[in-house]
Amino acid sequence: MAKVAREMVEKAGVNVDQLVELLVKNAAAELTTFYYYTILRVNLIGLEGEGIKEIAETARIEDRNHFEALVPRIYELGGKLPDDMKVFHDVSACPPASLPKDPRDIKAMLTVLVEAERCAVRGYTHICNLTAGKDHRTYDLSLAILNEEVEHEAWFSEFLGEGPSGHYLRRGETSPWVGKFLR
Amino acid sequence: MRKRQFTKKELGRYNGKDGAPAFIAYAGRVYDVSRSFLWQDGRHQALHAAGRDLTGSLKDAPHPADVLKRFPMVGTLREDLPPCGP
Repeated sequence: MAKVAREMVEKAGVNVDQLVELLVKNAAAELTTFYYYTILRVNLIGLEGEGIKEIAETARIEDRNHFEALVPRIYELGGKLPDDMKVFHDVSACPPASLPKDPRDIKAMLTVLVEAERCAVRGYTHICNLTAGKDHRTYDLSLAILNEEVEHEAWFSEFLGEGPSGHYLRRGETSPWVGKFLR
Repeated sequence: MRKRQFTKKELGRYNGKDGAPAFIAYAGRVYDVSRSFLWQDGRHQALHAAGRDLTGSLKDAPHPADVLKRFPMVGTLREDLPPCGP
């Protein structure tokens, strides 16, 4: 635990235990989404499915990166991950991104993907709001993750024809914002 | 079917703990969120508890209030009456 780092956050008026619980819940959401997206990805087949496989894969890898980036902050603040992975799954901040009944229904697949991203966008917006001006490190991390989640949402949303966003797919490495926390 | 009226005290019993259903109130209406993955054990996102009127909290939530339309409305919240007597 980074004792002074925690003290500074407490002194700024943040309920650190509550914040840590939120971070654990969002870390669980990232890792479970990585798992569920793996299942979605292998089922993205056929002309339509192959068309969105690449963005689903990028989102999958970046969600795993978000998990990796969140874990050190949880421990810095004196928190920990649950010992039991079943417990970890069930405390997720977002519902499971389960495979639709008909995996060939591309709209249903995209709906699962976009809803998962929207849950993440809400979650990190909330953490940014709680930590802005108070816990600079958690804010910086959450904002970096939020930047990537907003793009994920836009990618899937555009495939659903919900309007243009202007976001391009990744060029170069994944996690352009969160990468600095992974080095 | 006629909807039930809850006082705040009655609502407090539906806190999602020990097998109790999880009900929350918003804008005078009471919703059953027991089946939501995000309301397990009567807690939501580490910050909110079932069995309460969350009208004030929802304005700060990162989602619109109309997410509650996904849940069954089970009644209305009755304003607590002021105590009788002088």
